[in-house]
Amino acid sequence: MSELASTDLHGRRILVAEDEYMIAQEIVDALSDVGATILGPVSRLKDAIRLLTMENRIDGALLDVNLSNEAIWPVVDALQARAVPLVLATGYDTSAIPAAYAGLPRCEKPATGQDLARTLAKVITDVTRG
Amino acid sequence: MTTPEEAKELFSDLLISVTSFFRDAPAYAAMERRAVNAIFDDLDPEREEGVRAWVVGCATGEEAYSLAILFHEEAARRKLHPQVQIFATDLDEGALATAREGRYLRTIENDVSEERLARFFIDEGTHYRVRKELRESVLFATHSVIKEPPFLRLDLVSCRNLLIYLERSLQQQLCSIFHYGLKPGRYLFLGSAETADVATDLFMPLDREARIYGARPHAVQTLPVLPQFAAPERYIGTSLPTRVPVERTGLPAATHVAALERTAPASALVDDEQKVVHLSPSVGRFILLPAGPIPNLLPSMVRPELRLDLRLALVRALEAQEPTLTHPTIAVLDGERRRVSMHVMPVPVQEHMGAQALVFFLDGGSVPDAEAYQAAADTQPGEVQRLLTELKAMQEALVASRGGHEATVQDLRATNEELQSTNEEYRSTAEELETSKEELQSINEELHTVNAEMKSKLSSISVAHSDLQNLTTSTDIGTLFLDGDLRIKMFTPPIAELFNVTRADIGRVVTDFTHRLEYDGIEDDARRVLSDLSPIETEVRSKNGRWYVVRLRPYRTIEDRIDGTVVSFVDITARREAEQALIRSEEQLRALVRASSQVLYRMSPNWDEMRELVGGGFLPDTNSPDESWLLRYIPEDDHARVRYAVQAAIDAKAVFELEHRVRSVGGALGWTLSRAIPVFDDAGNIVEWFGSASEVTGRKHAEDALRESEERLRQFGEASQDVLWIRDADTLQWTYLTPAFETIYGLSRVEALSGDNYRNWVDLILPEDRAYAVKSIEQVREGGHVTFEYRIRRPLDGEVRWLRNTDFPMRDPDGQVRQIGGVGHDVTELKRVEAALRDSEGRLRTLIEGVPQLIWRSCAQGRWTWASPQWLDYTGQTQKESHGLGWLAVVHPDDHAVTEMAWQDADPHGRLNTEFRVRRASDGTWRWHQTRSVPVRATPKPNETAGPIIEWLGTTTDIEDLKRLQGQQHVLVGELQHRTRNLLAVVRNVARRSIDASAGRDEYDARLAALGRVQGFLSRSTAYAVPLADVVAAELHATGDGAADKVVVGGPAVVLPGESVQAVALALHELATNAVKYGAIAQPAGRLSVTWQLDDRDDGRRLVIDWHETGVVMPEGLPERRGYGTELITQALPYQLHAETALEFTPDGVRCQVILPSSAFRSPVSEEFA
Repeated sequence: MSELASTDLHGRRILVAEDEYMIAQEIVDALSDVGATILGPVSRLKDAIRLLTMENRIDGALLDVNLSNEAIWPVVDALQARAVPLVLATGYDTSAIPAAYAGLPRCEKPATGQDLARTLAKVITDVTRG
Repeated sequence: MTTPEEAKELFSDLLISVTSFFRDAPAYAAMERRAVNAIFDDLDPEREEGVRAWVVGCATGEEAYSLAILFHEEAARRKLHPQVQIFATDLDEGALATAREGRYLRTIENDVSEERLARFFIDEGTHYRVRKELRESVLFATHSVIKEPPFLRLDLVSCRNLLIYLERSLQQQLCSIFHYGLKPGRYLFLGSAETADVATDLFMPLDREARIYGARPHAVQTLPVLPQFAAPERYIGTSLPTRVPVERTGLPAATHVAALERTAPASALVDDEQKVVHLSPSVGRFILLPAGPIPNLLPSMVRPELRLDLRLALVRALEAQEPTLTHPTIAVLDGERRRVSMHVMPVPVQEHMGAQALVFFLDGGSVPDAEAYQAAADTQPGEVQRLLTELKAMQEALVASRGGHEATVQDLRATNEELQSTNEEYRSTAEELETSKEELQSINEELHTVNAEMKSKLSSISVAHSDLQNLTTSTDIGTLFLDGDLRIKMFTPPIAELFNVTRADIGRVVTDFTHRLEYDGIEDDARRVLSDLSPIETEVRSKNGRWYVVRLRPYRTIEDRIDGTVVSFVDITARREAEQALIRSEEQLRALVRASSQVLYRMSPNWDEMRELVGGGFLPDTNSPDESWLLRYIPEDDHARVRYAVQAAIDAKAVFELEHRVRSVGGALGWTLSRAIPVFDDAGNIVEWFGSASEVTGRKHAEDALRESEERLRQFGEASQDVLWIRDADTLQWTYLTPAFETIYGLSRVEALSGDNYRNWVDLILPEDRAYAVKSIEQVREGGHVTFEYRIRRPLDGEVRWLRNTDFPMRDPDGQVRQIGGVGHDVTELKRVEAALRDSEGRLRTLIEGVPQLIWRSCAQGRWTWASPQWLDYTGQTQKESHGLGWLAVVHPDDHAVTEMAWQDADPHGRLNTEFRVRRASDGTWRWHQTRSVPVRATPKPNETAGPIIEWLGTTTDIEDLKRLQGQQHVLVGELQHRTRNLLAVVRNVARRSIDASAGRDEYDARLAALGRVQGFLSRSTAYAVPLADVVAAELHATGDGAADKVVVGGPAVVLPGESVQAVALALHELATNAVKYGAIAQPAGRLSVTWQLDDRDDGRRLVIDWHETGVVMPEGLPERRGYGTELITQALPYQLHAETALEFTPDGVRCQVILPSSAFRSPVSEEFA
């Protein structure tokens, strides 16, 4: 599993949006371990959007649903428009996710950085294979 | 050709006399533009030079007159009067005769414009005759352009369609002749088929199309050679000999010729006219050209000393074919007196060539000066010397004589030219004389005609005279003609009855005679007529009782000169008697009129003048004609009316009848009915009007009052927006209808009143309302007052309108219903508004009854006026029970005080917002309700911001469930806090059990404790925010007691929101822990200050938190730790809160500054924490 993840995320450019510093660091560490390039991390929605406009190539994204009391959905929309695979990280219950985004791959907190990285790797693999 | 006449006729036949006016019109137009204009431009009016033109081959003169017309028109345009002289010449005498007569067939209308015809021609019926002014500017003469000398100083030569009949050499000659005759630069006008190209050296083309040429100013003006001297092509070949030597140089013969050329005496070859044909190279020194144009006659070219001898010698050589060697003549050559002889030899005549002569100039060497002669004389015997002296004298005399000869020859030539011109002038004069003669003949004719007329007039005068004679004898009117001195000139027979005159008395003064009239003023009257020139008429009586009208008039001759007096006597005795009878009759009539109480009057036919009015005591009388009757009798307001009626009567020649106001005797206005009839003369013209008038003032006033009353009523009706009508009670037809009908019914009154208008009106009514309306009208007919409503459909747009009618009977004095009056009011809008209001109320009611809230209306202090059905359902109260303060009955007694207080505050605050419990009727439970209400206000007065409160409109909402849910939420939040802190405790316990005791575990515990504190703060705060001071105090407190004297804490009231609290609290915890372990609190001399302040920057407010330790001895070797605390401050705070942070380990202690952006704190403190 770990091997698969490292293979699939190596050299990938992954956008990370997470407002909690310590959690963000954990995710960054986990992704760096498997050789991915980190875009961010960003703690605010506007920083995430700025990154989107600046980066031509984004291979995947790990997104906290709530960034400093702002919902991540605009970023999700933009990424989906660019067909970028993404994984949501959230402490909310499924019922708190709007129906339009309920089908997106999701990790419920508290998840470790490794958990998130693995989930993202799987999503990217599915996308590239499928 | 047996007679000279025949020859002449043949000659005439050869001549071609075809021409017309303005032949080739474009060419004439060009000529006018190019030539005529220029000629007039150059005309110098000061010098009085005229315009001279020559028309060669003028035939019947059209061309010459055309030119003259152009010149005259141009002169008129420029307002100049130069003398225009056109010489028109032809060989054809017959044609010239026509031209001189200047009479042309009407066909010239095709060529000459109407304007020109009118100006330059006289219409003689079948012909047009050239006017005199035009005729006089053209001079016609028989002239052969080839044989006779030309006219000179010309501005224009017109030679059209002549050259084409001539051969080229003749054309050349003619051109040179024309050139000679023209002033330099002037114009030659040729026919369309001709050119002057044979003489391009003389003429340059100005307009090739129109064949207009200009004479080149030529330096050598040679008199053209006249044809009888013509020697055509005589120059051909003469230059050949000079070329030959050039071609044959190198041959001995040529050498010889060349030598001869150089050394032989100077020579010249001349032709039979003594013109130079060729000159040798060295001849120049013998040539001395005279002033003026270069002559080409050799004798004119050589030095003056040689000319006479040369001329004689040439004549000999050319005519006698004899050579001559002249005697040496002294000539000055090269400034030296030299002896010169000339050898003149005839040259043998060659074929086709005239005689020629060769002249050698032989230089005989220089002549000694006088001194030389003297010297020679000294050495010679006396005889020789004497001869020499004589010879010298002779030579000088000869030189002088030659000079004289030359001058004479020049003079003679000049004279000759003058004579030629003079000759031309004579010819012209002869022409003019001939014309004058013709004119004299025509004058003679006229005199004959005049004579004949005189004769016929004389006979008609005789007839007139006999007529007059008969007139005087046949008339009965005595007429007496007197001259200025009152002498009798003539009289008619009846005069003899009045005056004792006979025919023999004619010429005697009239006053000398006795008469049978009672009239002595004839003399005075006659003189007055003569002086005033106005007739006098008097009626006189004769001694035998007869009456005469005596009229004296001035006698006017045909020339309107006064030459005496005419006195006529007309017997008017019969008329006079009739007049007397008439006067008597009128007097009687007048008396009758005066006795009448009627006003009687007479007017002039057009009513300009009132001849007479007898007022009958009502109006002031008018006894003499008065033109201002209108002003006097009739007030100004009635003038127009009266004038109109008068004019109508005059136009119709019918009776005038009018009621109008008049000024009565006392000055008061009264009414009169005036009638007048026209009195006609025999021809049917109105002679005068005779009228009578009676006073109708009383009746008029009564009528006016009635009319005024009706008018007032009518105006009410017109102004009313309601339809007012009056119907006949029997027929029900409208007799009166006001304009509002048109607005309401959309139908004009004219349409409405036409036909059976009752039936039409009924048809307008909607069928369902019809019966009711008809019935209502019937009721009125029977004497009742009825108000009824009905609808009509307007025919114009199909719109339906509601009308409310109030109809009433109108009775006659007997109490019978004669008419029905009605007032119709359009209530469509009212109906519509009523319906709309009903709809609106219905909707509002539906809305009010639909909402879940309990709705009510109230006066001040909670006195309800209405409660919605929901309230009634909910509380079980009746509508009435709820009114006033009745609704309080279902409010919980404990809440009455609060509710009453809320109502007391409601008025000043302008709103009501309170909560109380209401008993629900369905289960008898008290349930919390929130009540809100706002006042309904009247429109504010101008100085008020809000109008007075009319009523309160309020809702009372069941919030029992809301309250319960809020309570549940409160419990849940407490539960969540509790669980969170329990979870933290469990986590700490798990760690304590899982990890052995160590410094790391202690740190972990402490950090978990800090997190717990944060959660505690947040769970206590409803606003999910914590004051910074509390956070600082809690973290410092957690480090232990006894540090209070070392620590200074201070800053403004600032609150950290939930998102910021945790990160800031953890950072403070790390700093405090460090201070307790190693820093300011651990060391005895250490001091700590934790302060914060607000910093307002351009991009927003900042919160600056300073952690400042002093008096600390920093442990040696303690590295800058990159541990959890440092990372928290330098990394996590900037990442999570976007704070700026600085952490320094100075020798004096730790210094830390955290600057938070405005998003991470709140200030000033919000009211929840006040």
